[in-house]
Amino acid sequence: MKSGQKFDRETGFFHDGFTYIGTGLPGGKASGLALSQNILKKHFPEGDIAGMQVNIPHTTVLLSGVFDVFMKENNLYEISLSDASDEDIALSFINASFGGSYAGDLFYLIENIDKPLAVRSSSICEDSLNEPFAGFYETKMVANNQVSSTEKYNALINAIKYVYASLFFQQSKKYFQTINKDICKEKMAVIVQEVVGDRHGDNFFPYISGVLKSYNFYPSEQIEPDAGFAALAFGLGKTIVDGSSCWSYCPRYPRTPQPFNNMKDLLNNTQKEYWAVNLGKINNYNPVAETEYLVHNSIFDLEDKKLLRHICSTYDYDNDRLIMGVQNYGAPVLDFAPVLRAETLPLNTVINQIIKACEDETNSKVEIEFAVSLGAANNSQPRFGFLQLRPINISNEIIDLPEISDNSEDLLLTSQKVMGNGRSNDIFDIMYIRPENFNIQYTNQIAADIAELNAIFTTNKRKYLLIGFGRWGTSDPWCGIPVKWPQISNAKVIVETVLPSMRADFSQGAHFFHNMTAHNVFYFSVDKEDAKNLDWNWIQQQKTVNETKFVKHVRLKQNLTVLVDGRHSKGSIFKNEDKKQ
Amino acid sequence: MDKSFNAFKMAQDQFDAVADKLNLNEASREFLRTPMREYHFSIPVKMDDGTSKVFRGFRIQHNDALGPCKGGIRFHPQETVDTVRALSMWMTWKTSVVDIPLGGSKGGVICDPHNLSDREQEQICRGWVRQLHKNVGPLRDIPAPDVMTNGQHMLWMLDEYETITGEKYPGMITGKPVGMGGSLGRTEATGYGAIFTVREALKEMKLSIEDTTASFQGFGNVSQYAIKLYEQLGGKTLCISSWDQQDQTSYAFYKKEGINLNELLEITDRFGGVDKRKAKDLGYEVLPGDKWIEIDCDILIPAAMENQITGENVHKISSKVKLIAEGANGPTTPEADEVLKERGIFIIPDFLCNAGGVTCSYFEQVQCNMNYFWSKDEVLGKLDYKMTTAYHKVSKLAREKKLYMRDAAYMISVDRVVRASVARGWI
Repeated sequence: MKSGQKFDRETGFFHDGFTYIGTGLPGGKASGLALSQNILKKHFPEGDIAGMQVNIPHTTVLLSGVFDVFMKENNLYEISLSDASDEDIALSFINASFGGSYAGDLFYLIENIDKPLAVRSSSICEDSLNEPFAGFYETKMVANNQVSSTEKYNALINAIKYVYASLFFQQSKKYFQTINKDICKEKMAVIVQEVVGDRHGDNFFPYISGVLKSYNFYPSEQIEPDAGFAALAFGLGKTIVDGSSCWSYCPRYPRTPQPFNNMKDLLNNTQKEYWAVNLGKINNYNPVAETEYLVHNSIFDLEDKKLLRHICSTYDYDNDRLIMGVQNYGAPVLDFAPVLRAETLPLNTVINQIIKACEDETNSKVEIEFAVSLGAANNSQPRFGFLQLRPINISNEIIDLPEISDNSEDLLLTSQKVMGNGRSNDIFDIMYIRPENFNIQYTNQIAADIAELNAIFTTNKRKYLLIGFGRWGTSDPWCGIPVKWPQISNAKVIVETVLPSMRADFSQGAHFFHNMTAHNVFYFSVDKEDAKNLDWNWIQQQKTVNETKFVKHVRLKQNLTVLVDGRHSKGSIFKNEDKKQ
Repeated sequence: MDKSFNAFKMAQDQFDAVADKLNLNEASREFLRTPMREYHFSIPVKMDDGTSKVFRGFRIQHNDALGPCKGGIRFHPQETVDTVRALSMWMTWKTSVVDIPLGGSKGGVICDPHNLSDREQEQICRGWVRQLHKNVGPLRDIPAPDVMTNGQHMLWMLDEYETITGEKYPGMITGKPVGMGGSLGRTEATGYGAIFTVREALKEMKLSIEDTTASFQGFGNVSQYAIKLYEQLGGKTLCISSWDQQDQTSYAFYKKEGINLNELLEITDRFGGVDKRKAKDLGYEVLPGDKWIEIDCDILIPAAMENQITGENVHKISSKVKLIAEGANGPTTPEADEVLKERGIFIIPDFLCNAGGVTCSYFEQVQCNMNYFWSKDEVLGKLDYKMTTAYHKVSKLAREKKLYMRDAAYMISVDRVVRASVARGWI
């Protein structure tokens, strides 16, 4: 879908809605934005919900034709398809030129903007329902506050070239190989978008970033899956996308407490650091780094703690309890209680109305990314910036799980928290992290070992069951295994389970889960109780095919049967040793 | 070329007409219709065969009210001082119309480089600088390549200048090779600059560039890059003409479904001459050179020689043509201009349309003076910005005052130079 108006130098960047440059296609993400714009115009023509401004940030899309000309004019396919490192590929792109067709438009664009910008990929395959490329390609923020327009221009075009180059990074190339698609047919449009947020000293960031899903694959016991869930973070949304600690809740029941075991658990697992655009001095010029213009700060270093007034409670150490809001004593805890319980901002009202409008218009469950700013002046109207809209694929196949007794010998594992829906009968392989050698210090090495073995599966075109400890896909190596999607791309079933040293916590890495959904990968979260059923002895008796210090691959004599009831988020895996399903 | 044609007289006539429109006083007219300074000198050279030969050289500095003079150096056996005078005046208008802080000049040497060895050409270059080193330089007058001179000639001249002054002045001259003080994007600049203005003109005419076709006169550097960008933006080129060195005449190469630039480049020599036999094999119609003007298309782009659209051939222009973009200097005579005005064909005048070259030369000089060089995207981005801004200023004035585009461009540039001269207290 192509919406908006052709970029016009006279009216410039700040059109109502968004503009586009060049010819070709807008890509998945930009199409989602176009759809969002239409939905907002239809359902909220005043651009306001409950006193909160609602709109999409000012945006210009470089259509896929710009990418085509760039690749062709600079003969970039040769190095792109070679074994060169990601950094070498990115540098080759940065040294290449946009040529006469588009350099001028980009120069005009930057002349007229003085806000930080996000440069995001919007590839033709990305974010579509059937071809999940979500989160594969890089996003880069630029501060765009240099005095000279030339420096601003160079930072912008380098960021665009970096995003282009990320199509050909190793993980992307491996993924294309996995899904048996020609990477040369992929085309990339790029979104240049105003960052929603406010300036605080040398930092610029949104007050709240969020991801909404109108279907919850991990509902807690009293909450129905279609009540959805939202993940909120202070600062840029990178915190959520990376799978770092943030706050999750159900928009239908915003006051329902989150399932933390105790106060210590809550204190340990709430957000303590946030990402911001660095408007100060850039110490490390590095055009091939995603975080070149970003800073990662601690909330405890905030000069003005009152800034957290809508999103934090304060820990009262003496009484081991939380007091809503910012107090003069005690550490802030980002539990978003003021906004969710006391409704100091109408955020949840906005979220629910937007979910409803988007579901009605797309006729499906949806995932939405957004950012909220308070406005610079005290009396400014808060703003809800709509960043992305993506439909969620939910299979309608109905699966009824058989009655299972816990001591059934045929049962490999069962779980009450399973993502996905359907059945699988084609898995003969299990890759697992060896519990006897597991050490949380070595999760990066474990991820690398898994990637290596996954590559063999890719070559042999085999699917497998993956079992590990802690949160899969986290960017924090102390919370789980920090794999990226291509490193486990051939896993058909993923199990996160627990060890005494590693508490299983459900991942909120939005892109990671979008990929799993779209590939119909089943995700079993096995808690302490269910872990008792996980038959480690049987697994360890199977024939070893490959092993490293931390990871083992075994092959089974008989296929596994995997059954997942998506309506009730339950699932079981059977060994099939004695019978065939 | 018509030998009775006097370029300087034409330049003065054009100026006089603008002076009337601007209602300039007599002093301003007198000051601007003739160059401020002229240098005429001899360059004695020891030839390879041991004989000595004396070449005549010129440097005409038309006006430097807006900044140091800027203009090329031509090596041509039929060079005349009146041609150089005219070209120096046009340089003043050209730098002024794109609003860069430079004046106008032009230089030349009467010689035929085809008959000179590299050593002999080097001696001419060094001799030219020895005569003029006090009157040129980064703060006075910055030469550049022009007809039959290139980056190598510029390097010889720069080296002689730096030898005489004992200092390094990379901004003394432009058009140097990249890596030796040259700017990225210079090769593309004139052709791309012309298409930037075409693109903006089509937008104003509410024509989609993807729906247009064009015919180009010439197939040298300017045309080649202009065609490249025009086609990237979606346009279709139906015809190009090129000079055949062997036959000493030009031919036009036509393909109804559109030429293939890369295919033609493969059969083109370094002077822009297309191999007509191979072109025929590739399905091109090979026509007499002047047929380029008769092609049924939307846009004509004369991009090689002056005096190409004349009173004699202007009536052959197809009724389909809506736009003429003058990539070359002085391709349209005043008589032809009158006919084009009557027919309502939109003109992008030469000193605006082909100002991409001098604008990029200015960027080169800026980079050299800083001794810090820009990326190609930076050069092309700024070039597009400058050219587009200049185009719209001219076009806005033309619309508001209901002027012919050439007159509007002249009025803007002459007015700027007059104001600068008045501000300095000269007139």
